[in-house]
Amino acid sequence: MSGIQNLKNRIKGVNDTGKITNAMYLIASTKLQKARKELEATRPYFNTLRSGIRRLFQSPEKLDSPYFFNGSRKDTIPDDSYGILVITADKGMAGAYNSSIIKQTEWLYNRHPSSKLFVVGEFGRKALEAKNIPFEEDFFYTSQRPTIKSSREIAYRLLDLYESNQVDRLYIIYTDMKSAMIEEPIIDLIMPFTKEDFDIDGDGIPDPAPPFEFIPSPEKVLRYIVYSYVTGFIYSALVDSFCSEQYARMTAMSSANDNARNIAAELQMQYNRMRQGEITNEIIEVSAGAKAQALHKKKENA
Amino acid sequence: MNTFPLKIYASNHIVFEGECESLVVPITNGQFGVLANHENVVCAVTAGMLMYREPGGENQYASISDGIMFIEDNHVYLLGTAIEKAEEIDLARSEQDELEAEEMLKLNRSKVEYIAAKAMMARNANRIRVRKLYGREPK
Repeated sequence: MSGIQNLKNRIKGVNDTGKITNAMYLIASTKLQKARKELEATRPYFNTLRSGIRRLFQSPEKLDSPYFFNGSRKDTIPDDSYGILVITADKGMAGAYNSSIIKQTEWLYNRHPSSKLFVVGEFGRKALEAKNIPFEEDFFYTSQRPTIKSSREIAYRLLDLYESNQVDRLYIIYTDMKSAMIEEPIIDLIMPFTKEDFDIDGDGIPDPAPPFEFIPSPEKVLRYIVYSYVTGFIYSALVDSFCSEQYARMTAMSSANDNARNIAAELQMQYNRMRQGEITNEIIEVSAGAKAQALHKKKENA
Repeated sequence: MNTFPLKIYASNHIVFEGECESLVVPITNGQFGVLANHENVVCAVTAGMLMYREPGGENQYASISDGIMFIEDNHVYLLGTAIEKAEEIDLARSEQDELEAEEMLKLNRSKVEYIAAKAMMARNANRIRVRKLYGREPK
């Protein structure tokens, strides 16, 4: 009897877990829809800003600014120290979403051990702590609600680091939702700008455009552009990651749902068999008993 | 009156797309007015009040936090990190944020935080001003 009771409890437990994962699935899917809308809304601003910066690269005067780098983004110096912004989720249960970001972070950090890490999301902080990778302790941001305000704060902090030459480059590690099905971790260079980042058409930078007048001065305009761009970039990376996180959670939870359903079905089958077996046993016992009784009576009568 | 195509994009939404007669944006040393056929300019925009007018329409007011304006071949692109139309500004929230910025200033922490707090104060003071001046529909 105890075996059957155990099975019964297990079936109930599996079903209850299924209910929780199903609820998590639903929550993630609504969050994803909302975040997708936000991501779409940032596109026009961001694309225009990009083409604006592209225009500046075309300007006939050579742009001599610490924000611009005339070489290729692939030229790296091994011991450069980087400022790295890592975007992870606040909690787990999202498939490989967090672990692939952590893997990328480890890879970049091991190449540039003097880098400073800035981690968004509680999960990333815990994971890096466990791996003994140091990160900035006083950098607290949640990945749950990406806002312009927090992106601006992050941008100011990173750019200050860059402008005071404490780091040579700024990188961001986030997850991009490439299409409805594919999401991949990305390591992207934020600072300095290189020509190839803004080579949108892919056919090299075209001929110089008619000259622009800079108001109030080229330096000031550049500074504004850089701050706007980096803020915008961080915002869209945060939103992009948030979308990916929700999507990863959705997939993880939907396979958890399937698993729960399969396990429950299997257990139910076992339960049925066991119950049937027990009933059969009882019937055998009863009929054997009846037979014995009948035999006994026959002997007495004889 | 001649018009020009204008696009005003905030980082999280589209504020305006269409023909425009006149545009005034805040810049570091005052106001910058744009009419049709302006020469090519790249311009740093600071926190302040923004005004634009559609052909035959009334002046529209909005607050802008900071941004960039590109003018090229009579096309005008205005990009702002945060832009809110006067009637959409949340007065209570702006006042709250202004107080928060004030407190941050008093804490007297690092240089970055000081600059950020100053900028935050300016943005919210500007929001409150635009809301109070132009927030209601003109009678």
